[in-house]
Amino acid sequence: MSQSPLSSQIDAERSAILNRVAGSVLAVETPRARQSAFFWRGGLLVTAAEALEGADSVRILKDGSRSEAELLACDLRTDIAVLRAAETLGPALAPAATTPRPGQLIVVAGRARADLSASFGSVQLNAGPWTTRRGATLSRRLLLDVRLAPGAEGAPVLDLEGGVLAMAVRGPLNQVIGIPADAIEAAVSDVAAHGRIAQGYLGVRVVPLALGLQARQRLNAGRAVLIVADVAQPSPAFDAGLEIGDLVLAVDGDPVQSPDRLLGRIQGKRPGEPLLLRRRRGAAIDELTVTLGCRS
Amino acid sequence: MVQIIVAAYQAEVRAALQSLLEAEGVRAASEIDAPAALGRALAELMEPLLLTGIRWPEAASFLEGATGQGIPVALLLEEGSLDAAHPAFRRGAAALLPWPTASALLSSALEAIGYGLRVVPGTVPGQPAVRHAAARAGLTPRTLLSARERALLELVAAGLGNKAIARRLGVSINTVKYHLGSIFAKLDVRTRAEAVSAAARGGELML
Repeated sequence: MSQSPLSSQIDAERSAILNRVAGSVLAVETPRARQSAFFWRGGLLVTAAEALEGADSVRILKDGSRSEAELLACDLRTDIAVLRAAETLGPALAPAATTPRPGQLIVVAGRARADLSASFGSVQLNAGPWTTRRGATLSRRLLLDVRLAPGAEGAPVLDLEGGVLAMAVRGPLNQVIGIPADAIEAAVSDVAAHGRIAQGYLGVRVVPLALGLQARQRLNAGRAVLIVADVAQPSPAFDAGLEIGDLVLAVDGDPVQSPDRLLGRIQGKRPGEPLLLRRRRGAAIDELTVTLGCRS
Repeated sequence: MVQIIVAAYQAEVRAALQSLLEAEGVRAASEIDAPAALGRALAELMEPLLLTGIRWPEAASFLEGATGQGIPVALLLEEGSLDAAHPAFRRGAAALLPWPTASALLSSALEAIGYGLRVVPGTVPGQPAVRHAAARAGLTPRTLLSARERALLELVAAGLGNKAIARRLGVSINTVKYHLGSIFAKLDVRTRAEAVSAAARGGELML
């Protein structure tokens, strides 16, 4: 009976990482799903948002004991949900010191009921900025070469130092996607500061105006443009000089023909980011840059 | 659905206004021959709009009666009375069209009023322009959602959970859930994100 020193060393290192993070990973139960969550800061837990939509509180499980956690924020655009546990049941995990690189070894540490699960794998792709299906812009498109254990959605993706690179969620085509640590940090610090995830805000109510053929040619526009029907005061739109009756022809260079497309453009950005509007008032067309505010 | 009250002292004017509506396949909900009859007509209607004309100052008393109750008024005035356009607007008319007018024009003016816009005569006689003017006090856009439901949905859009919304509005969490259920039903959606997006599409949400 002999064991190579190298393999036993690897085995010991794997166990050490898991032991280090085990206390920070919990199981989450909703009527719709079982998934994992982890402590990020204080009593704030992070998990995947998809299955939590509309819930007020969820059950969390650790070491066989159940308790309730309040759902503070549920951002489907980024798939990040933030929970507050009644008591801090474990230490917070720290973000990784380095950015993920392709081929980097990772472990996804999840929890199914009372039991810790571990899936080892590696970073498959770490590409530039990425706009999610639901319109949020993330700093990276992070694909993971790993098979998630049951209930491991929402679990932390760790480097071999135990630092958090991302949160694991299931994507289309059986992909495993990592929601990057900087997006998690942004969401959690919003919640810690304001009690929710900050949403961009322009301060206009718009209705679509269908255009006839002549009007389309004259305005050089598509089937419809947006009319500003109301401007909130105070609001970024008001400060930028938008007025009732202005026509919004394009946003960031792209034509917008329905109000929910404008909403998507706004939601894809964070408060403080600029939005470029092409506006027509009477016969004059101009461009104005509006700095998005925060919906309150 | 907007319900139209046709109002004029003379029977032949009412008949002319009615036939204009009928040309667009619209039936007036009721007809009144004096401002005093307005109260009774309003009692039966959910979302009334007053259509009146065609001479000034006869039409003024109907206009005043309706705007006093927050009812939008579409006013059709014959050529000689168009000088009264300014006073009519100052008294709160939502739309002003010259008489005679094309039925299609009236129909699009009524549509515009429904969106909380105001319709004014253009500079060219007989060519009214939909001016994208304010939804003014008393003129609420045609909406699916009540003011309370809109306020609640604004908070959903702000990313607040049910508990936080309940705290903010000073109501119980069950009240929040009840309103949310009603919003979902009206907008025919199943999730909060869908509700926000549907309300935006309908022009009911501040973006």
